Amino acid sequence: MLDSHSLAKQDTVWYTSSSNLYYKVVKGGMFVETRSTQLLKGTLDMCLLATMAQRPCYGYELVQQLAQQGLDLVSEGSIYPLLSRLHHLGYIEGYLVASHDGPRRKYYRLLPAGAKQLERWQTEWEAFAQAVERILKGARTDAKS
Amino acid sequence: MQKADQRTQKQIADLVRACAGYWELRGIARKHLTEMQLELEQHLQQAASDGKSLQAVLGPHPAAFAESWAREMRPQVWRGSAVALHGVVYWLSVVGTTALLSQLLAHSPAFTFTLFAAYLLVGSGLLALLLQLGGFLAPRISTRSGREALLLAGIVLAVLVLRLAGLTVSWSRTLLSWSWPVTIVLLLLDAVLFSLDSWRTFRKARASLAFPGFPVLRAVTMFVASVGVFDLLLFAGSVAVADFCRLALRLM
Repeated sequence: MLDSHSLAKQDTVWYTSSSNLYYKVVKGGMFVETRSTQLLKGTLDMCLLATMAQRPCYGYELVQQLAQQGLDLVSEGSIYPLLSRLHHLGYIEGYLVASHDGPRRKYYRLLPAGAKQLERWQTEWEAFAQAVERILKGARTDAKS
Repeated sequence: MQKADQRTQKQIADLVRACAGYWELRGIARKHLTEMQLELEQHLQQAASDGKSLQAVLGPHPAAFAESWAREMRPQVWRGSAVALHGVVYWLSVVGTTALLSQLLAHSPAFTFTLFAAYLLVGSGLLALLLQLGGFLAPRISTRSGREALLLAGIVLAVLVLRLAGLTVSWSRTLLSWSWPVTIVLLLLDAVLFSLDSWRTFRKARASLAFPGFPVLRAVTMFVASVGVFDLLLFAGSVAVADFCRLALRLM
């Protein structure tokens, strides 16, 4: 049985040929996906949109916001390819903001198309999470009886 | 924000340079490339000042990270061809001017392009490419001079191994030979390609807010000067390499 907490520190972000995120765990030279990384793989774009829906953020800020909510990206840079994809899909836009303590910083904000997509994804996710919850509840009840 | 130590700063600069070099080769437009470079550098700086490792940002394979980001940027194919055109113009300039100079100085009716000259041209191009991608290939060696020394050692070792294996190469073998009218045609072709390359760069610079002005005269002067310096280095290098090979052969 893999200890998800200790292995989380060794996670590696990998990419498939279709550019989908793959979070894998290095264990003795072998790559094994944990369930949490699989879940994160399918929801990170939604989480990024939801974070940007609160307020515009720059890359590092997004990672910090996710970490504060309990989603630790072990390879933080993996958000950038995803942000580029969201940008090309017209869901977000980037803009440079002058900084008083250094060069300009790139912020990302949600666009109306992104807000609509976020709503769709949220609805999808809630339906999916409820279905899983019902199944798990049923399993727990069966186990008790 | 607390600044990272000097070693980490160097590593960050090196990784960012390596990524930028890779993105340029992948055909990412200059404007986007500059922004990507800026974002990555700022993220790495902030992560380092928060006590995180660089691996925590880029993962264990920075090249995979650079590739995944490049893929999402949807590089335009013509950008890749622009890099190739730039390379062709440069190498054509070097070959054309070398041929012209040798024909003028040696008063020879024909210029011979030997295997050795081809080796030097291809080798220097490969060297430039490897040095640009050095941040990925040898991340532990953080200085450019260190990487150059490593590459040189690798080349010398490879030559010695091939020599020990009994491989003999006739460096003076003529690959191509042409008379001065062909040299003139080559230089004219180069001038046309150079004009095309400059026109494209000028048009792009005008369209981009990142480069409001494009000093044409300065660009041409820089190009001519760099070709001249390369010609000189090629000449000096060929003499030095020939001497070195002769010495190595004598020692063996």
